[in-house]
Amino acid sequence: MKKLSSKRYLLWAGILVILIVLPLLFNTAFSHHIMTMMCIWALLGMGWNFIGGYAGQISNGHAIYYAFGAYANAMLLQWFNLSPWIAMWVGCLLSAGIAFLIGKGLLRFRGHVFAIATMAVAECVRLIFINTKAVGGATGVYIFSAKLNPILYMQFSSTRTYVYLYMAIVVCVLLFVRWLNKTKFCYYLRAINGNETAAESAGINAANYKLLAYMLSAVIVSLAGSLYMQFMLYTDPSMILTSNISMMIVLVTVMGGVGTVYGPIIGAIVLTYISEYTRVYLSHYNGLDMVIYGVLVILIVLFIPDGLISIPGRIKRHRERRHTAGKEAPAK
Amino acid sequence: MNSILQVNDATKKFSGLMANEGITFHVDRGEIVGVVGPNGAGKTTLFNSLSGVHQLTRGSIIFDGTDITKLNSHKICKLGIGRTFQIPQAIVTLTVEENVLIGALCHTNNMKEARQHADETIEVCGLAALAKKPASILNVAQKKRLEIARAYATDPKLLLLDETMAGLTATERVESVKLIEKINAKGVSILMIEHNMDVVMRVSNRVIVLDAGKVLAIGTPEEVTSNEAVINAYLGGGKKDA
Repeated sequence: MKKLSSKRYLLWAGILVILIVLPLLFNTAFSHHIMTMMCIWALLGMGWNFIGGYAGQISNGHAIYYAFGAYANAMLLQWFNLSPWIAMWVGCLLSAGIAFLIGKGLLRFRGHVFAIATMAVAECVRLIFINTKAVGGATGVYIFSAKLNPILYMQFSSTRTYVYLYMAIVVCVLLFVRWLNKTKFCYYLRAINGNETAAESAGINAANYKLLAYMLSAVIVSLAGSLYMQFMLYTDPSMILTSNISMMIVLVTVMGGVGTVYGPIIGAIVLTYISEYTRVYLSHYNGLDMVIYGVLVILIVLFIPDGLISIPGRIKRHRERRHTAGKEAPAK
Repeated sequence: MNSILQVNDATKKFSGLMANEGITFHVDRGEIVGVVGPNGAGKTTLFNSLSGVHQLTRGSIIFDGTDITKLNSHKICKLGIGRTFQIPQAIVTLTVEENVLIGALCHTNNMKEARQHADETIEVCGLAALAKKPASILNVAQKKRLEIARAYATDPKLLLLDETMAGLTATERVESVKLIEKINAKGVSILMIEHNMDVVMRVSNRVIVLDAGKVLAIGTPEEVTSNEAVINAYLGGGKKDA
């Protein structure tokens, strides 16, 4: 493994200090809510990135796995009094299984057809949840109980605890993604995304790798769903299983930088910040928050199509071009 | 067995169109075999059948003792058949180095080993100066060379080259011929579709001539060029009168 240079050590140490200090510095329930949601959206983006970013299969139905993760925690607690520390992994397994079945059927499609098909499946799942009383139907499920052990059942009274715990989980997933990014698996996914015919002719079983990517993305999104459930302690299909959620998952990654390690985190930070602040401060002007939010998203996607993560590279290239142009300019 | 590839009665029909019909030939180990024929003769269809892009309607393909008639592209590649495409299929989202790495990962999970193999292949194929460049910025000649490099990195026993000289300048063609000969010298058998007759005659041990989906002639370059049927197919019988 490559050793980190001292500059990089300092950078990571600085980031760690910021992560520790931020929740203390902005010590309000609203700030903690935003930070927690940033963590959840970062996980959602990192998960979707495997199928949408690396493999290039635009799934518009990842709210399914978000919901499975959330409902797994809720229902396993209600039915078997199972701790969410275990239930979230059961949710991940369940999501991987569902993703296997859906992926086997849908991944034979490409492009728009796959995008629409995943959206249609998500809509079907939403209707099933609404009409299934066993999982709370349209009214949803509520899991808060003051009697439960807060640590064992992940129901903390302090919002700051959620922030620290979720940040730690995001860091763990990030390290995993960073490691995976340099493995055969991710190179193969990028090759499939770039040119599936060429990839197949170089010995890549594209169908299997796409299915694996879809399952992995479902697992990470499901984990985010479980964490969301533990933070909100309530959910219903209209809250978690809508096409809006699926679109937001795509948007987080697209805005941050598709197919990159850090893009989804940047996207999550910016999008959550914009959406939460416009929602809170502009919601009394009916719909204005959504208009501003939408316009900002359009502007970013229009003018920075490679995502926010590409900005430093763009600035560097611009400077280099100016530098070269300056050298080539004839002396007067 | 000296043959690395044995094709028997290869027939491919697309709805009403008979693209290949009853094609039978073999490629010996270490041999370079040229495939020529007018446009629409079924050369690329034959390559697609050999590399598993589509399956034969009738007939069989035996590669190195294994029946690969019904296998997919990726399985055929793993068995030892690498291929390039008529229209270069560079993976434009990756760099030159990464494109070759994809091929090198065919037989190993070890990234270090694969990178080393990719570097060696890049060197052999003369792409070292472009290694870090994105494949999207390459010109046609470089993309064709990259395709050969990616296919060669999979450690093939047989390389299928589909018009690797098309669109190249005379100098680039000379370089490309040198590369093909270098790869062949390392023991890789080569089956190449080529329109450039100078190249075919120079490098091929044998030549297969296709016309309207059927084999018109098989033989050494000298035999084929003096074959009446081939002259008629290519020149419409006009050579005699000329």
